[in-house]
Amino acid sequence: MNDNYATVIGVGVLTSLGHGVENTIKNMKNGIVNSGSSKRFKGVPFDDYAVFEAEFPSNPEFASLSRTTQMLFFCFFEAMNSARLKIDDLKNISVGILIGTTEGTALDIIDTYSIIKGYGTSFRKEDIDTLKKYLDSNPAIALSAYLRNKGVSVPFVHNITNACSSGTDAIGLGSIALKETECDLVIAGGADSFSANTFAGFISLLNSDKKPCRPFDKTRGGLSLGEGAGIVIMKKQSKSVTTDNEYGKILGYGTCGDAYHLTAPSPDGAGLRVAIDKALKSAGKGYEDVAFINAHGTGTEANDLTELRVINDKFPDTVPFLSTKGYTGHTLGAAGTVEAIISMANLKDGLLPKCAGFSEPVDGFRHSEPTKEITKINGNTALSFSLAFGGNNSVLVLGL
Amino acid sequence: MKNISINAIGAVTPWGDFKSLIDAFKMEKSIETGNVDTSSLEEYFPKKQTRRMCHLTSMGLLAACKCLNDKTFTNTPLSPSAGILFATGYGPAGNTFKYLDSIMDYGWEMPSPLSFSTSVQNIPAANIAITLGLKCPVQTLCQLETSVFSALKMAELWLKSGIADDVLLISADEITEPLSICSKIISNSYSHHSRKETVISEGAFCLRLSLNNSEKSYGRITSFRNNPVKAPGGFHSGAYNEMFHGMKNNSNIYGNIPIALGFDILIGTSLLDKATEKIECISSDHFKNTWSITLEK
Repeated sequence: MNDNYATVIGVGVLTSLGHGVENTIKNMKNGIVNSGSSKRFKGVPFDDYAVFEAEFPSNPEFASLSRTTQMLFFCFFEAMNSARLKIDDLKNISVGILIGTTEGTALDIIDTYSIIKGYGTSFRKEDIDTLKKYLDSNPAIALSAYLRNKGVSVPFVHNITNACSSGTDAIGLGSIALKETECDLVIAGGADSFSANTFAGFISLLNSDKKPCRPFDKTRGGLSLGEGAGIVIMKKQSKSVTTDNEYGKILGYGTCGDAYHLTAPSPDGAGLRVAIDKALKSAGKGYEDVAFINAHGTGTEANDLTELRVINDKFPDTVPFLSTKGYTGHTLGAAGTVEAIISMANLKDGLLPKCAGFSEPVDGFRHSEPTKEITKINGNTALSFSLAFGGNNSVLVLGL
Repeated sequence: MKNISINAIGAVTPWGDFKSLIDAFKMEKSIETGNVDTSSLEEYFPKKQTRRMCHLTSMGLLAACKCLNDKTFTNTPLSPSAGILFATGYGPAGNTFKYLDSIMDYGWEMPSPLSFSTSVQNIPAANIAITLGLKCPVQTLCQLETSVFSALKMAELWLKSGIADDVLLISADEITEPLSICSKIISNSYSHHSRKETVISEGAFCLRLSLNNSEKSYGRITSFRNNPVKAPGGFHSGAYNEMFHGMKNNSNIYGNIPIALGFDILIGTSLLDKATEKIECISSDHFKNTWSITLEK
């Protein structure tokens, strides 16, 4: 292992499984899937589709911000607690922020927009409240503004909008920033609530499953939207932030675009293969070191078959793989972070949950069965894949 | 820090290309309309290839093409380890509003799948990578007035860590009627009086960046700073040049646009000479924090 890894000293996670990493892992091992028709968006066509909605207590301090950014703050405070850090502990160090999102920066302002279309330039000041909320709620900027107001030095703030790989990119680049910059601590993660606009958009693409998603299953019917957030607090091994917590390590990261199609991955997984190679190289690891793969596994044909091709070509059949989206739904910009946190917890636990939603393997592959039951992990290195709209592929190497 | 060299520049502005922008600056002109024409994209691609591209993507692609054909670097092919960073204040706003239109026109059951998929923030960057045939790291940063600063910091990280050794930093924002209306209301209602009359504009630029200091380079980015100065009163989403004679607001040249910091850098490169060795370009965010980069010859 190289010595450039980042140590994760705090985590916060929120999905339809609840919040807290221990709670999340316990629920997965118990096979709990909190999915059903949306409680927030009713009527046609929404009622027909399974989604994975998160619940979290409202914090009056952030009530004026978007749901995405409220979830981000919820996980930020959970991560701070898990790291046994207080805001005051951050005041004499420098803290980098990288947050991945999709919904968090989407101009999801249909209320304001419909008024604009109706009223045109006779628009009133109070009609722009939705836009003002949008401006206040850019996830990374809002978190940095909060910390700056508390006297924390924030040398860089990145709001990463690489669609569904955003949360992976935030962690991977955050771990590199610890090595390459002077910052002492990095707060990285992802957050995405799901909105009616996004929900309707995915339904219109005809790639949403009416049942809870069934990644890698022969009868899969597409993805199920979820919502959630995840935060990891990382320090470089040599830095002097005092905490004895250790949730895992970010050992390596690789990313590569397919330059193939705007919404589908290259069928041969060209970009994913490069991203895996780069990630393992940066970690000083080989394919033989991989104990398991947390695949992207959306339950769409294009995604699942691409990943199966790459897994079959590149890894021995003994390497177990799974998708955790059968438990959480696809949390979009948060997915990479949520799955990295789950994977580190799996490594620590030594056990993988079964791949929820899977029952029958896809034809045509030698190694096509994800975990069907709780499975023992042999090793201490895991890969987490994220494939995104735009053909982006990003991979994290995670360790203990 | 290792310096970041600006090796090539491409720009698409209401004035025209990079040279036209600098000419307008030197002649102390002010823009009257903020719209950008991308018809010259036909010089690089058959019209058929780009006909479905949104305006934001077209501006970004055109800026990238101009950068890749910049005479200072024409004979230097992109490195096999190149990467694309895309910085935008609002992302593909035009396509997002088209998508909202489709919801309002046809209901939740029948919105446009094409408008939905092309409203995703990283699609312009992906589209540019596909059109240029670049299988490489591609990343989008969408964070209002801090997008360009963030992308430059990310470029530094990519170059230092080896994620890429030749970075195309493309940045674009487009005019949309809804955002223009909202922007005017914000300017008029929230005490940003000095920007009331600033023309809302659009445009794109592309910087080709590396760690190697070439004699031909336009300049070097030598430092990044946070809150070096307090945001001046009434200053919201533009950028300032801190020159020898104090701060200069150039927004009369490039208009009201979230990626203003990039246009200040472009203008700054034209000012660097023996007499002006260092220029500070400063942008202010929504929360009145300032973000500054130092430009040196």
